Amino acid sequence: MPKTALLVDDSFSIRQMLSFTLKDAGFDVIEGANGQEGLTAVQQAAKLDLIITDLNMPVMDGITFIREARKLPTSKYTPILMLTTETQAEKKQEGKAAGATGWIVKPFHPAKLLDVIAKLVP
Amino acid sequence: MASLAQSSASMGARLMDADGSHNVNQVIQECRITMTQLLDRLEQSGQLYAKAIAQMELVDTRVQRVFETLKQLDQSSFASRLVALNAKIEAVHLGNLGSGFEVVADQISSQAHRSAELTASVAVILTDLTKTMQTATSELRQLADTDREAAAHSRAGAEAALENLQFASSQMQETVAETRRVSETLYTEISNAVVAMQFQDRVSQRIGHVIDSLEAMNQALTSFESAEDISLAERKQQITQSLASSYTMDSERRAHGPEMATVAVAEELAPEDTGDVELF
Repeated sequence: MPKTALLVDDSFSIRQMLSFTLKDAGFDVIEGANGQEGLTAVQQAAKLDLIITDLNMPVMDGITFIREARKLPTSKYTPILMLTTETQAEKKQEGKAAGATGWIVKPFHPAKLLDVIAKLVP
Repeated sequence: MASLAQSSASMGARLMDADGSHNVNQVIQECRITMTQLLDRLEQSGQLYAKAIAQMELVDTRVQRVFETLKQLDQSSFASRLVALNAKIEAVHLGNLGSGFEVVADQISSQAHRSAELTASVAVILTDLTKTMQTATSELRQLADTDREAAAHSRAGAEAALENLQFASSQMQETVAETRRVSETLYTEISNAVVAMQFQDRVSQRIGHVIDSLEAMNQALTSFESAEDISLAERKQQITQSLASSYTMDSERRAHGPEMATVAVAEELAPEDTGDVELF
């Protein structure tokens, strides 16, 4: 049974690129353009094996999204990776405190992302 | 597509041994050896057939000699019967004195007759034997000829098939090697394209932040026009703080002023340092 990943990013091109990479690795992919859409997707999903989210997004940012997603049963224990251009240590700590599983600074090579995912979703 | 490219590359690698020789070539070589052994055995069988045929022909020649001997025996029996008949005639001429001699003549005639019957019987058996042997020899010769032709035909066919297989294998390996090279290039290019897209996204974000900053600056300047009691230094500080709150990249903070950077210049997002991963 294929694994399901949720991508949350306000950049269409980034969502396309990540979707391409994850589908190529065997994932079913659902998408959200901001934290709010991400939360709706979590509520509607039967199960989620992985969530990848951007940090800075309109409507609802990544930190808030993670905090809210951790309250929902579908995503309570799902690995959540933050992909961001942000390098501030405080933001990283904020993400960790909200419930993020890991932090990847953009730009990254797809192979590196898949290596990380393989560790989180064996 | 990226995983397809990787799969093609690894499949190509699997077709090659570590020492560079090709598995398919080894299989072809083993097939050739096995085929040659089989054909050699077939040819050896053909040679055994030929020997058997020669032996049977020799037996046939000897049987013909036996026929000649039987013929001489038959002639001898006939002569004996003639002798017995003449003896019997002479015995009759002698009357009572020749009666004993007549009995002997009858016995000789009877034995000669019996000998002729036995000779005829042996001739019939030998004739049957000769026919059977000739049929067997003919069938064996036909079988040997068929096997020899089949072996020669099989050898030529198998050699041609193996040559074709080797040629096809060599072409396939060249294609696989080329596919692997292309796949590796494709995989690298896809990865580079993905990274390039992320750089494009960074640039887009920075442009967005510049626009936001300009708008914020415009609003601040407008609001300061009516607030004459604020000093120039305070105005500058307020604008700076307003702008700094919208930055997400350290390079943006540094562009605004070195004191705003959170990371040393040497550490900040050199291309080889991007993609940093931290699992909590």
